[in-house]
Amino acid sequence: MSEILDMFSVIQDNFMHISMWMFPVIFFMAALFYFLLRKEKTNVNFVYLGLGVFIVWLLPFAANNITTFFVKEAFMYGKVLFIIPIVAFVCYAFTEFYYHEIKQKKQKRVWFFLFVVLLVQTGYRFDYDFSVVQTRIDLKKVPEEVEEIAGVLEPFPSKCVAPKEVASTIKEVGISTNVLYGNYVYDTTNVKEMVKTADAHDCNVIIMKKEDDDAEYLKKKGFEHLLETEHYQVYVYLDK
Amino acid sequence: MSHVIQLIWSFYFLILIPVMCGIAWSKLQKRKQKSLSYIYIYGYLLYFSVFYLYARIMLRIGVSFGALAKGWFVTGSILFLIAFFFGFHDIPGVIKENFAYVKKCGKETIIVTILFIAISVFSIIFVVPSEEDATPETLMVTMATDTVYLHDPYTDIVYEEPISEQAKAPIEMFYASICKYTGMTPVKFVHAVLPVPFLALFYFVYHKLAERLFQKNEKEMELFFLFVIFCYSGSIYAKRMGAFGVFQNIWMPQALLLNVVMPFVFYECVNFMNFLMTEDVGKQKKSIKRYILKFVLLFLSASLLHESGGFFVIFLLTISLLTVLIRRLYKKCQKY
Repeated sequence: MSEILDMFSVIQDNFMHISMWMFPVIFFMAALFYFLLRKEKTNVNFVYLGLGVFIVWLLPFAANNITTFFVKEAFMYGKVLFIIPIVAFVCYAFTEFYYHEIKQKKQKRVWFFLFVVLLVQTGYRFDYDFSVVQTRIDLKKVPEEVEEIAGVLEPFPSKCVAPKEVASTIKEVGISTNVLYGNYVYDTTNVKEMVKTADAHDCNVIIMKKEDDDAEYLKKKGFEHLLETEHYQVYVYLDK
Repeated sequence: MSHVIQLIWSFYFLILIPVMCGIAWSKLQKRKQKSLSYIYIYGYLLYFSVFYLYARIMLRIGVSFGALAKGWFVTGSILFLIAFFFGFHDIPGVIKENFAYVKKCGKETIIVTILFIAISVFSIIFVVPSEEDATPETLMVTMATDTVYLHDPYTDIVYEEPISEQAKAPIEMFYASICKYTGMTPVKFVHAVLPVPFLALFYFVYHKLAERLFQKNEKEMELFFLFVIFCYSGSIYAKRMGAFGVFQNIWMPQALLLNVVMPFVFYECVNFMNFLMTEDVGKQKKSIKRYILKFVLLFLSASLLHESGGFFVIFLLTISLLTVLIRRLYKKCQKY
């Protein structure tokens, strides 16, 4: 039984990929056929340009040369087809068909429903993940420790020197917190030099990794211990 | 920095400069009709092109991110001033013309536009960007380390490849430079601010396409745009939508290139083909010059978004020229 279920999951997985990459191409081909077969010819250059790109894209010669000289990754070749505005093509064909060919209201409703169902199918997952539609607040990538530090620094204006992983995320939660940008400002090998740089740039907060902590030296320079988290020590210079 | 000042800076960098560039561009092209869609699209193309040229020069010199951002602030402001003094006299005319256009709009246009705005607002607030998107992380690591494409945005490890390979399409530096001066956090700037001007760009591009396809038949135009919105709104509830994630992550270079810039390149190629199919094409040298300028802008803008972007523009242009050639030959053969 489990093997049968596995087989179905493989089928489902393949269907997901087919629906994502193949359905737009199939729609586009259907739209092309519609334009080429119908009697009334309008916007011929629009149709012929799409057809031209599609034919060239299918040629092995073009594929070989494009992937060799211009598009370095082979998987990107699939995306070259998307330089044709496929959505515009499909929607143009459907609008023409819907507006000019279908006369009865009932038929219009059925076609509209069919179009929407097929479009829905172009999504990645066969079973749509509606949990995607939710507020972003649950998905932020800021570690709890950094949030804690930002919360403590929030009440007063602060400019800090911090390790890269803190410097790159702290502004996500603490708007008023300023970080001294610049490579190698946080220097684990030379704490004295780092304090000197911080002083030169009017920084009043230093966030240290616990393993780099030099409490005595910082105290000597007038910094006071403010907070201790799992991995960091926060020092503040109150006179600035 | 207060939120109001942050929004004013964002408005200046992302709306005001491109619009002024667009007004100046339409004056340079000596256009009589100055629709907002034309001004906005070409304003952005010009803005992107100037940044691309500026960034490639600066990255070749090997400057830090701070210097790049400072330089862009100055360059952008100079661009704005030049565009302002060049197109200053046209501003009242542009406002008047576009107000008259808005007044003429039928109920179909109003309904579809409101629907588009509603979906856009919903997508900005609720839709979670694709997992493939590393734009905010790239901005964060760029600003934190003051380097340009030197660190992996997720691991912070220095790249093994040379910097020139990474910086061929420096659109993230464009975002980061603006983000630094607005004072916003990268995630807020990318997820909440960038979609606004880019979704407007998407709206104008598809309206231009609709105008070309339906010759200003308003009902058909809006029905077409409604179907387009349906197609793209799939990205709101699906985890991935291939290359169609407009309402999910329009700021992503690939999404912006394939859903906004390339449709417009296609539109201009069709216009160019229509122009080449006219009988007296040889006499209209001025129009040919205008098209060359337009394609230069499109080439540079596409190159900013993806390293193969410029190739895509040339590829489309070559095929459109070949198609015209075949059609002309076919017409001549029919005569004999």
